[in-house]
Amino acid sequence: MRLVALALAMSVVPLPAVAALGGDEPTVQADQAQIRGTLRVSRTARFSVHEIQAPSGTAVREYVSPAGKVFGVAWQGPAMPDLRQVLGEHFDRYVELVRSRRTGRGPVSIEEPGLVVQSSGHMRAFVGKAYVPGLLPQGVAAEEIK
Amino acid sequence: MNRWFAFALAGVFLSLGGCGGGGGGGGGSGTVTPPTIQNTQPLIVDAGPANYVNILFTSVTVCAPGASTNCQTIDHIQVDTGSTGLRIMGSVLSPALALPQAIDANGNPLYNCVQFVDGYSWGSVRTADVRFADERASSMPIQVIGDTGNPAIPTSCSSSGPPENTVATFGANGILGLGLFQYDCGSACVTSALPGTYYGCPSSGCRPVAVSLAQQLPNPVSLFATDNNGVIIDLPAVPAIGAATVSGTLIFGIGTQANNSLGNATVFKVDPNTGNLRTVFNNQAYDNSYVDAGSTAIFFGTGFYGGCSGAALGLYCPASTQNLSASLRGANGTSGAISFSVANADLLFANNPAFNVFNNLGAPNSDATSFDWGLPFFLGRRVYTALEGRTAGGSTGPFVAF
Repeated sequence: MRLVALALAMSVVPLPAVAALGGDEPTVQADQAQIRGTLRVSRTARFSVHEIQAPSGTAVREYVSPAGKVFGVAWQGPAMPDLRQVLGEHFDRYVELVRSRRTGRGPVSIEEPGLVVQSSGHMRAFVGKAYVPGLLPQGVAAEEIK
Repeated sequence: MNRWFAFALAGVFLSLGGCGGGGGGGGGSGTVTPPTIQNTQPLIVDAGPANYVNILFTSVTVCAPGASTNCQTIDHIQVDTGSTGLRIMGSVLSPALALPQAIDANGNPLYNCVQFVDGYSWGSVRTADVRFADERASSMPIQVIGDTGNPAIPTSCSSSGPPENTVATFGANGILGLGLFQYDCGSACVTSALPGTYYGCPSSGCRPVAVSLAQQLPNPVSLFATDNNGVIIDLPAVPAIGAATVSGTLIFGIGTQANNSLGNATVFKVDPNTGNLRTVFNNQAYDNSYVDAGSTAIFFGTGFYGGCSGAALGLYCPASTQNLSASLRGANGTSGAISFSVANADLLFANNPAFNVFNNLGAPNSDATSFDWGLPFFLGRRVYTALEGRTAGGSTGPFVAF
């Protein structure tokens, strides 16, 4: 009976949010499933880019290092992306920082050693990116995430 | 002093029974004169209900649909040209209005999620008759944010950042989106059930739903009988040290009455999909720029100047005031110069803690392709915002002009 109870409990507990930023390459597929978007992958010697086109029209690009880590994400389109999904474990920290740093309304610039999030735009036209500075592969500049 | 969190709930004017009247016109004998529609109402920048800086406010009168007496006038509604639709905090709405909730195509109560760049708001879609001066938008869908009894917020709504579901976190009693678009979402939400937009909420839980244009939050101006092609935000200049408050005028319609002609303003057409246009600054093009009365500062570049530390955290704090110039380029080939200043916001706030309006607040904008021309741009200008698809002063919107 205990085994059955455990199995039941596991089936109703939601799966943990899959970390995209800072996660491993397979999490990109989880993001794709969550966003229900179409995926296009382009690879270079230094990193690969997984572009997910959401039904809203917003494109999310996930930058994956040769070691298979998602080191950056970027988005552009008419709707905000699901930041909880694409920021993964960094989402709660992001929300906390936006709350504490606001001087008014408008674009968001969060920059701390472990997390950079830059979010800009307005209804119908959003753009932004996020990365973990320590995860940038050698020779890759933050400006390449876009 | 922390300007963002210092909190003081300002008064909400209740005027139950004050929705009738207005109109006027004609009368007299023999001479036929078109009725004069009062198309202006006051604007103010002040501390507002949550003590922020550089938030532009006006009042709206909300009536139960079809009612002439069951009305409420609500002050300190933020005026925004970067969004579309009227959204009001449930906490300031009189329960006596009993605004009916909209129903989706499946017969379920309809809810709306609005995702701003810095947070989200969640609430029911309700129908109201809304009045500004003599202008009326009847049976208009509005969002009532943070209403009591709302179902749990879907995670696909709360996924864009911090919640802005209270007067304190929103900084206003509501927001009046008078932007370039007729609807908040538009055709994308007609064809698809998009997360982060509209939700049908049966008792089993909320799910994204597709909604017709008629069910979406419109730009209220688009529903007026006349003066329905756009607005003018007319604000006086303020001194470089700032001001405690500034008062201006919100004018409905462009080229429809004697008081709203385009005059010699320059028309800058914008991208019809995004509302964006080009800014040129330091010989560099910022192609995705936008004019947004709902932004606190002029957001541009990163690391141009030092950041602030105290109450102005998040703004620019240059060692000395920077006097700058840029030019705006319309999609129709027009060009206009803009002079602007960026002062040290920490010093501005410290020197005059009671001031709420500043024309020289700058802030970093991580998007290397855009300027966000926020409220400082509007001070000392008469800025026209013309709706998509509507002709205004001989030009077809969407465009901005000044």
